[in-house]
Amino acid sequence: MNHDALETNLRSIHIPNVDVHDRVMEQIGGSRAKPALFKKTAFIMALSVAVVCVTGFAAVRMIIDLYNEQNMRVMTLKAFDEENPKPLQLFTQEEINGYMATLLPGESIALYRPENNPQKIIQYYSKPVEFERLAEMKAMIGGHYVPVAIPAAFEFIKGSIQYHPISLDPMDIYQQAAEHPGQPVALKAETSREMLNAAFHFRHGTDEYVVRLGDGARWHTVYTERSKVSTSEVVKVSGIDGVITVAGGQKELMWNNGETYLSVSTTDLSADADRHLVELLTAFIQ
Amino acid sequence: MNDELEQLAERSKRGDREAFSQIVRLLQQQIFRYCYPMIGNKQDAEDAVQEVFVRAYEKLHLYRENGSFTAWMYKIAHNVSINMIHRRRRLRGLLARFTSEYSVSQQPEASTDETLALLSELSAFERSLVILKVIHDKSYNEISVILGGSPAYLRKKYERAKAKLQRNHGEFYMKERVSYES
Repeated sequence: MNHDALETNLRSIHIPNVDVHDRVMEQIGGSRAKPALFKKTAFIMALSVAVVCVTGFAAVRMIIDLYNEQNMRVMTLKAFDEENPKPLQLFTQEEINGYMATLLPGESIALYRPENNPQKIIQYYSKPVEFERLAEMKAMIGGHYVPVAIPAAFEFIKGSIQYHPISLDPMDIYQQAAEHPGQPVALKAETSREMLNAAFHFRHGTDEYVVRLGDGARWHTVYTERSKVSTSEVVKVSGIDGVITVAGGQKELMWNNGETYLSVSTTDLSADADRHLVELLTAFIQ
Repeated sequence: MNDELEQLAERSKRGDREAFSQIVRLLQQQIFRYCYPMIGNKQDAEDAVQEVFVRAYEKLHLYRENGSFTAWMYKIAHNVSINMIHRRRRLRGLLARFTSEYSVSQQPEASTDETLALLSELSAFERSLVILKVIHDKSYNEISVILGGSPAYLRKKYERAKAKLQRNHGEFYMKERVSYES
């Protein structure tokens, strides 16, 4: 059979008729389409009552569930465990830095090493696109996520956006690894236009604060190293639980409304830092 | 139809269920034409199409109007099909483990169609590529929006997949003949 005949056969596959309309409409009957992501109007009412209310605890817990105003769980912070172990470190940071140095901003790379990798995990890295001006970032992101006004004491230093890498066919990567045993595989991957996350760096006096944001669904469960977390405290921002942790010499406020995940972190460990974290977070969800 | 779909998508995002109902009517057969050869089983493909639209409805807020609503739907169909294939594979594994007296076919269950069986020998990525290129007449540019990868990369992969199909067809034909003769 030649190529043309093969294509003809493929084209002539009998596809039966299907009608799932009623089933679909019945299934979505109880739900409604969610509003557009990060629509500012959705936050206005909630923010008018934005408060910080410490409801948590100082002791370290294994699992911290965070809830919204409707008492629905929006995020869980939990320690790595046997079921969800810390991701394998297939490459050293030095190796990763070396590969990243070969990329231009916005480019991505797939890395694979078969040794000690029974699950055949392929890791993707995307080089962030960096910005020096907040207005540039805002233009790139399209208005979403970017605060209308930065609190007076904060000054924007720099920012970056990472985009989703597009997966390569794993078989190509495994084949290359098989052809060159003992050598890691590093293949350039395409990068989509879909934003993976964005980071905003601010100066506050002599301290630096970093705001990171991403897709809320992706960050529904956040894993952490229990041994590194020295304190954790639940705070309420805009009616939704967030958690402030101190870990590895850094204070971080994590918050997720189901749609958007926001993390604000700083190396300032003073009590005042909690207030600044909430202030900055509030500016982003306004 | 693209403009019409974009408008319907926009209305659906605003909560207009009738608009979404029209989207289902307009696209269900097209999506089924993708899921059926991907999965190789009519009942599972029907379930997959249902799941595609439910998932699309739930994720509509994430769709950005850029004139490629159909491509967005294909992406969801691709993901749902892959999940369905994995689920079926796991189920087969369980059946094989606990039901030693029954052999579990690796071919599509409900279809004796040789072409579908041949397609099932390809990787999910290759299968998707062949289906989009041949059955859906998509250009490499259009496929790159759905599956990712540059058009040149996809062209190379398509040629390889076609060669593999041709090779497998020879083997399949031989197996069928031997089976028939014995």
